[in-house]
Amino acid sequence: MNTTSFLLTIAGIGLGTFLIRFLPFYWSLKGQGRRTLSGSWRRAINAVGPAAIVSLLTVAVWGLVEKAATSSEIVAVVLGMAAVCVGKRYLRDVAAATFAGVLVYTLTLYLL
Amino acid sequence: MLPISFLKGVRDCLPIAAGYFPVGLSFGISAIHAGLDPWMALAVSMVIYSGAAQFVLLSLLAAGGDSLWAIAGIVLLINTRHLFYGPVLSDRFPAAHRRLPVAFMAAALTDEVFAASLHKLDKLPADQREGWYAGLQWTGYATWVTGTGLGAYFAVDFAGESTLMMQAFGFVLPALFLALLLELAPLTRYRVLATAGAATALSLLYMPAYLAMIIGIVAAAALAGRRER
Repeated sequence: MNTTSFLLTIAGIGLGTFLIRFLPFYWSLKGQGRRTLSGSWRRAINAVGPAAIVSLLTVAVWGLVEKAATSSEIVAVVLGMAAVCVGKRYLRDVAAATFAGVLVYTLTLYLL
Repeated sequence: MLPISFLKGVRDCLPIAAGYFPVGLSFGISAIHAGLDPWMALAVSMVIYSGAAQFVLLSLLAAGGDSLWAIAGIVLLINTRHLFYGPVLSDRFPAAHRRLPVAFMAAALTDEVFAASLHKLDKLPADQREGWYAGLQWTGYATWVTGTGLGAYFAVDFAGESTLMMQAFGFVLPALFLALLLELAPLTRYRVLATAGAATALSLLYMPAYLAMIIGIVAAAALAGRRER
């Protein structure tokens, strides 16, 4: 692939990615206040966000476990996740809980 | 009001940035190894700005793919899950407090920005939401592009960096997703969340992650809608 084709390819993908993000956002904002979604649709749309986070978490943890070369790496994942739960319970802050989990994960990898 | 809320968004992006930087760095290094020039790697991150899609693009280019339409089609398919995100977030931006163009709001809407926004926007005053969201998403973009640039232009220097540090960075996003889930879980039915996780995990056995995610989201949304009838 020459430079021109490469530039055309990334420009096309960039435009497509932008439109995938932009058009649903635009149409939703444009229709704000005029929509009368049924209860079923409203509940389904409200479930998309939490469901997406569960799916992202599943994919991310799957990738970590799949790449783990030793059992200590899996132990580190489990302890790191537990630390996030404990951190969220006692620190009550998303960022602090995240860093608590990363700290425990890294220390476990270092020590085991 | 906009600059203060923007700075709050920048601050709240730090966990995302800590996850983006090493992945962007890895992309820059991988792009050089795949035969791209440093400026090409940087251009891909600046124009496309979509992690999984960019890595797939690299693998297609490395495999000798030369059909522009085929490559673009495959890469865009990976991003179709983003179709769901705008409609979910749009209700959090009341018309009376909207000043920024929608294109500016949508351009850097990634998985992580969506997840963090879902957690935070409802807790902010309506007049601070746009500024916060802009700070969050554009800090993520700047971090990603910076990581790619450093990886692409200084690939040789970074190749020998600490494995432990790279592993630690690799755990940031999973930890962030779990923390966000713990924040949102009480607001959602357990069966809906369990369906999303189970459908995604089962799908991962048979298909790539981007398709598994779509199946997980659609299955959970379908269940949530069905329970209302």
